[in-house]
Amino acid sequence: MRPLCWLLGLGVLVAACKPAPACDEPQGPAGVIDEPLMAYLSMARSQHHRADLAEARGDVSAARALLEQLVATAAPAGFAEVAEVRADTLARMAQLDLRSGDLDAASRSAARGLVEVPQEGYYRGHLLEIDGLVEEARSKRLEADGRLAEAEAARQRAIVQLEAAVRIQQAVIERAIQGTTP
Amino acid sequence: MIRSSVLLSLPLLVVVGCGGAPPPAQQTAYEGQSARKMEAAPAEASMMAPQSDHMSVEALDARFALELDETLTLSESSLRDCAGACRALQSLTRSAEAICSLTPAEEPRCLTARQKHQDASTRVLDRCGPCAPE
Repeated sequence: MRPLCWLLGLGVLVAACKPAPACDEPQGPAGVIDEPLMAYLSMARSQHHRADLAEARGDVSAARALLEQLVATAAPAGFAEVAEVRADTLARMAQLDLRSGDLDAASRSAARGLVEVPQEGYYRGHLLEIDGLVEEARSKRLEADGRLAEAEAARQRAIVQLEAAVRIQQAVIERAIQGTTP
Repeated sequence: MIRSSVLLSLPLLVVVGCGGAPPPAQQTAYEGQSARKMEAAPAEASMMAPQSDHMSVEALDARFALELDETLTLSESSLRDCAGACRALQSLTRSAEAICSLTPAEEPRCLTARQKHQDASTRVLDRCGPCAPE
């Protein structure tokens, strides 16, 4: 299952909760249910679904345009869920760019995503992973062009990003399983 | 055991989750509320204990509600945490594979990545069982 589906499904469910002391996480600063957040999460899910359909019919540029539209949409401020949706959307855009062979666009999308999630968590790790894969592709392309020094520099950048991704996801896993029962 | 109760209580979770269970959005919020519930449970149970053989319907309802609430809390948390652990493991797996594709297999950076992947896989498998395929 796509990570975003998990996030959005959970987010919409939580945002739709009636006010209750135990169900207060997505509420705004005043402690009331935040309808703009609920609407944003619902719209984001729908937009990703439309991008899925575009991808399924092989129209990658349409899928990317839909995701770009989502990122450009004004979002309610101050919610971690919003930053995570934007980060995951930019990660997906970077993957599409990578698949299309537009490595510079992929790097820009990943960099934009990393700005959204400065704290170390799953989404930052995922973006670093994609950035590493982009640099890996760049290294191979440069090597094929005979630009060996630049290829080596890209390879080193790829490894650094991927190692950071491994380290972050390892920490995410440790935190996550602390709440489980063996 | 918890995993099977997760599956059994999933439909109930959706219905009851908003009103009685802690917020699923953040682990920290869950942990705080769960801890408070666990502390409260023995005191409430002991109040009912002397009448355990002839408990009133109300007392039975209260005990059942408390136990159900705790079960839902644990189940929901395990579900969320394992889902999070699995998606992080998938990202870690892809990253480690890419590191090893960029370096010779015997190079320390590949060996380290491979070891971290092995450790994380074992930890997740022990606590959550196998992750669903991507």
